[in-house]
Amino acid sequence: MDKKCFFTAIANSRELELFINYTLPSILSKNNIPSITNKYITEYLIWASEDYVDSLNKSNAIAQLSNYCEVSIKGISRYFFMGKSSSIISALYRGMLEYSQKNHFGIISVQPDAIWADGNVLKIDQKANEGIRAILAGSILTHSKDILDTLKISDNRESEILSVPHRKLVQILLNDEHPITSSQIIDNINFSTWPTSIFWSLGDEGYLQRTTELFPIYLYPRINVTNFRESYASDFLESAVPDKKDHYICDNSDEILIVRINFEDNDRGIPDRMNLANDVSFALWLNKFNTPQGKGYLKHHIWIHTGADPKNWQSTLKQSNMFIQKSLAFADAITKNSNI
Amino acid sequence: MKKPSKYKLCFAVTVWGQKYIDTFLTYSLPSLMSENNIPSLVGNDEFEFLIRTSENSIDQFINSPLIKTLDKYVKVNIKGFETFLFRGGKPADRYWRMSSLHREIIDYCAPINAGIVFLPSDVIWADGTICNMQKIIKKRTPRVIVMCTLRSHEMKIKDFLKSDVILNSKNNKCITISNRDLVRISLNNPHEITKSRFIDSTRFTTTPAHIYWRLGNEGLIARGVHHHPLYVHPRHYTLDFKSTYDADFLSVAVPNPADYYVCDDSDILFFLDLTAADDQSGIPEQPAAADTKHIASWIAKHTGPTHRTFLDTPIWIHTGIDKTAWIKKLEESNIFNKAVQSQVELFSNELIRKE
Repeated sequence: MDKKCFFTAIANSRELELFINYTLPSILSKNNIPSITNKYITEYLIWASEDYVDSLNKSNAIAQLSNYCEVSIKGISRYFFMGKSSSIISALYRGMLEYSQKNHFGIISVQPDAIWADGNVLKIDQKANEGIRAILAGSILTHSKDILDTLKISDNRESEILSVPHRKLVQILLNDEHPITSSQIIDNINFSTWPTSIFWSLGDEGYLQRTTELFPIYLYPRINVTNFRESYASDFLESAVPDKKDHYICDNSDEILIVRINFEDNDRGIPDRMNLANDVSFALWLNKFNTPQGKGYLKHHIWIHTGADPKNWQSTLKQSNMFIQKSLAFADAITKNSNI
Repeated sequence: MKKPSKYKLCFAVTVWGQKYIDTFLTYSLPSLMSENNIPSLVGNDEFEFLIRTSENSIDQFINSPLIKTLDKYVKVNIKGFETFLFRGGKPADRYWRMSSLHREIIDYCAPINAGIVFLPSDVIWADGTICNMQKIIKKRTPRVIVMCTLRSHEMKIKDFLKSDVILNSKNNKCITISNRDLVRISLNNPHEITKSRFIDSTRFTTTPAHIYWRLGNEGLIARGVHHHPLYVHPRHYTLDFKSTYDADFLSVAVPNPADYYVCDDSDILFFLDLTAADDQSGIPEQPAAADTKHIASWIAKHTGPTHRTFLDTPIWIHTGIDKTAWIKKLEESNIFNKAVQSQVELFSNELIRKE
């Protein structure tokens, strides 16, 4: 069996707070880290600004984590965190890759503002043991601070654990839908101007998601490269695990569900006037802001649900397929036309 | 009796990557070590030379005989940062790395209220520039000294210096080139970026941070908005800037244009930039002529009020000219500048309105 390490890169104080209070507690739930701790996990690497090392060391969640694996916290010069956060995050990933490849680790990458449903790690472990080299997952936003805090208290008064089963987490998303998610629902009359994901509603049972953004939550390089130009999720993934047969795209929230926390009043892409979704404007947006990789991800669909049976939602799947196929065809035609 | 004034001056170099370290140790530092540069620094003052680099490069500096000589004149302080921070990424990450290192330097200088001398790593200094800089600081007490430099063809300059008698001075482990000789070398080996900045260029730059008017073969008059801040004594030692030390840091650290000294003659301060041939920044693919509207719109979009004041000072970069013979050219640049400035305000107002 291959050895695995967890990695989290923290860019700023917001991420530090979310990581300690939500992400790590969710990683500590029974069917996440504790489920595979005695097998092959050797380390949890947490890299952040030197200013955050004390807070991390003092946190109860870190103390609890150290019961399951070696925790290695590395503080990096604060000055590198004061510029563009994407630059420092990519640099930290490069440093981590150098380290993990020397040790032949598969990397479970945890973004510091995410809640992992209880059981994600178990599923990753299962897929990795089947020989999968890259597990890609989408994500969805939440701003349900109160609900999450309540869950933490009621479920685990004595500990730092946030244990939320997949379907319960989806129910929270549905009960208190994030405004960005609402704006990305295909029939919203104020449809998003920044549609990184498009959702088709499954009534009160969830969503069907098509997205241009998938993140490699598990990656075990076939090819030892530690350098990349754009990002860990884009060009690094393609050069380290180039064969798509080595990839697994998670298409069902019952298996893996990652929820990104966005408590702030983030209104990215929410239009201030009526805007209907249409394939031509989506195609133009795709061409302007996306790579072929992102467009390729749209061909996959992801069921995010509280127990919906996909068989009952085949017409919705067809609708989404049609929209995506037309949009991609338009995007392709526009590219060809502009080349002429 | 009044005590002699003492001030702390920190010379600051940020350099990483073998190519740039080699250029710094082989060309830039030797030119800084010429008689009228670092060795000319007048006593009674406190000087420090800060080198910020990657962890794995520190030994190259420590073991350099020239660094040991430098340490006799100024206290050398070398600090390295994790090597992985300097690997890979996009071309723009170069500025992120440089600014990160500059933030460390600014933070280091803040508690001692030091002035900072920003030394690019890939340049050749004219002999006398550091001496003149110190004179200006003492005599005029500006908070900022800005100067205009010329981008030159890196390989041609390096080849030229290898073969030329000027490098006789290399026996003394320094490179001594007078201001006028260095301008001549630069004019004889211009980079394509420099060529695109001449007002009569048929491929006029798309990023008109500098505009040049030719003075025959003897030099040029430059006007620009992004001069090199050689010396900065911040009123505010801010670390909160988005781009670089010569852009938004400068405007925040020293906001008042009255604190600035704009050097208007290459006889006083000069260095040439060694620019790689494949750097084609701002050179348009199609023919394009200089146009006041385009220049004004670029300036309005990419600069603030502090930088725009630099435009008012024409800078003579020359090999030894009689300026009175070039008054017409100066007037031509004045007229052009006025036309640009009048439109900059209009574009700025439009940008503010759009925001």
